Amino acid sequence: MQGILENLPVGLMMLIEAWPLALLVAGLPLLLWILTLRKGGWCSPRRRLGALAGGILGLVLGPLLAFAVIGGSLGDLRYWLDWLFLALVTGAAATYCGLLLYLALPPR
Amino acid sequence: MVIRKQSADPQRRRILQAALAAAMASAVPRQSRAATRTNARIVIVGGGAAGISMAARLLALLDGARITLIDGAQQHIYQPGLTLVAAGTWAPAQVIEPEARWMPRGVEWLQEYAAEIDPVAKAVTTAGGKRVPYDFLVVAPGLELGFDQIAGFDPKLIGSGGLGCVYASPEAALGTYRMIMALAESGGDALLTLPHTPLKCAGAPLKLTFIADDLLRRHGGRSRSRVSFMSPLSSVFGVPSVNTKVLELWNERSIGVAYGHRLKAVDPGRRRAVFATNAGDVEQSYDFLHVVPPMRAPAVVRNSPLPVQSGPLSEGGWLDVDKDNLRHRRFPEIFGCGDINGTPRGKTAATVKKGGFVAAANLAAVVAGREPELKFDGYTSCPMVTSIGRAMLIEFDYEGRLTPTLPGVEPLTESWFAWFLEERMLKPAYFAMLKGWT
Repeated sequence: MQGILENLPVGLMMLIEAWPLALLVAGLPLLLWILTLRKGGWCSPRRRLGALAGGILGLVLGPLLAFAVIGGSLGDLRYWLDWLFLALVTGAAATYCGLLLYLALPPR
Repeated sequence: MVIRKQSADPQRRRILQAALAAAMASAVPRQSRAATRTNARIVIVGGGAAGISMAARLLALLDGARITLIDGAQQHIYQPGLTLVAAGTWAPAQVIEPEARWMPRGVEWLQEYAAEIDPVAKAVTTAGGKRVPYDFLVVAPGLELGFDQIAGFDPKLIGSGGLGCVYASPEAALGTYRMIMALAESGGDALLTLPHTPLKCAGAPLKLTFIADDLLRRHGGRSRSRVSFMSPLSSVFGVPSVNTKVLELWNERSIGVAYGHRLKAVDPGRRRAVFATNAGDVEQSYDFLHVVPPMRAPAVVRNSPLPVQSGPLSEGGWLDVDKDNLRHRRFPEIFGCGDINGTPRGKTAATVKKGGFVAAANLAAVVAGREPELKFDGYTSCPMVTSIGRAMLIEFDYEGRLTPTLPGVEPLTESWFAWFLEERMLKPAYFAMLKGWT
């Protein structure tokens, strides 16, 4: 646990070093959120479907992107921590893509 | 027509405000202890990882200290990334940074190389003849690659004629990659060497061996090649458990090991290497030779009164520091940080991270009139790349005990997660260290 706490500033440095990407990733849903501010309709069926489709897309894109960016392949996953890490990356990608499509679709 | 003005949802506004406040709070690194007020003159020799991070830490710990850093280098090389360049994963530009970018504000940067240290007169003289007096000195000039100790070898040859060396420079690391790829095409004998001296990142020659094997396999040249590691010692790594694991993996991958072989000379024209062994000199032909030269302290320390006076470490001119508090044994106003230290183990960025924290805190204590308070356990770390996409995160101390810091990470298990740490997280961790944040 101490190792994690000690290395928290590393996360900040990662954000600073990759700030255009971090800005894009954080800004895109925010932009969509702002653009749909007046539209209302939080949980319309269309948006729910969009979130589901985005989630499925993220489940596929997440691992592909992770291997493309980090390197390696499925064959390199030999350890429970690797699978947990891939699951986290995939889950984050699914949530993100789901959120993007949810926000991008008009409520009605 | 009626236009109804809609305001943004107040709940959303509150969330946005809270997120902004949290981001700003986390962006300000906190200082763990109150700074000591002083007007001491502190000189730091060397602007590598050790010198810059020490400067940042001392600025935070000492209020009013006049800190001068002496280094003529305009480029800062992120050295842990050199093996990734040699693996063909990174471009050389990814490991080169402008030195000015990381120089802490508030430090006077003297852009010359230190030529002489006089610990009696308490002054450093630069190559340009400038004399810089100090009250306290931090010695952090790194180390020197002793290519001149290998007869017939010229570092300019790296990247041609089958010669590689990951340590020399980013360009040399790229040249090493090209030589491995040439071997993948032609097939032949790969010899990877280890020096008999202490060396920086002792895992790098082993990583290169794993990487060469992996690249040969990926590009179809492994069945036509023989890969051999030439160690001048009776092991390949100083930590027994790691040594055993590496040999186990090499055995699985048909990588041969020859012990008691010290690279003595190279004949680049005939592609032959000469090794000194107990049975006399042995000549071997190569198609790829990874040269890891003997390493020693830079002349500015080696030719000063500061090196270790007796024992095995006296040979390389390493700085005579107490391994626990990193203070010089004979000149108490001098502290050492990084590769230069004559300590039992650890010439890595990880050693700089933990050891630098201890050295800076102890120096600050001495400035405040106290005795050094913190003790360094010799922590070092080596993300041992075992193929492109896999690594083992090995951390250990002076005694060679494995000291994993991240929960759940098994040090002797190959993992993709450890590769992720090496490939994506180590560089920001390094920069956070330069800033004195970790």
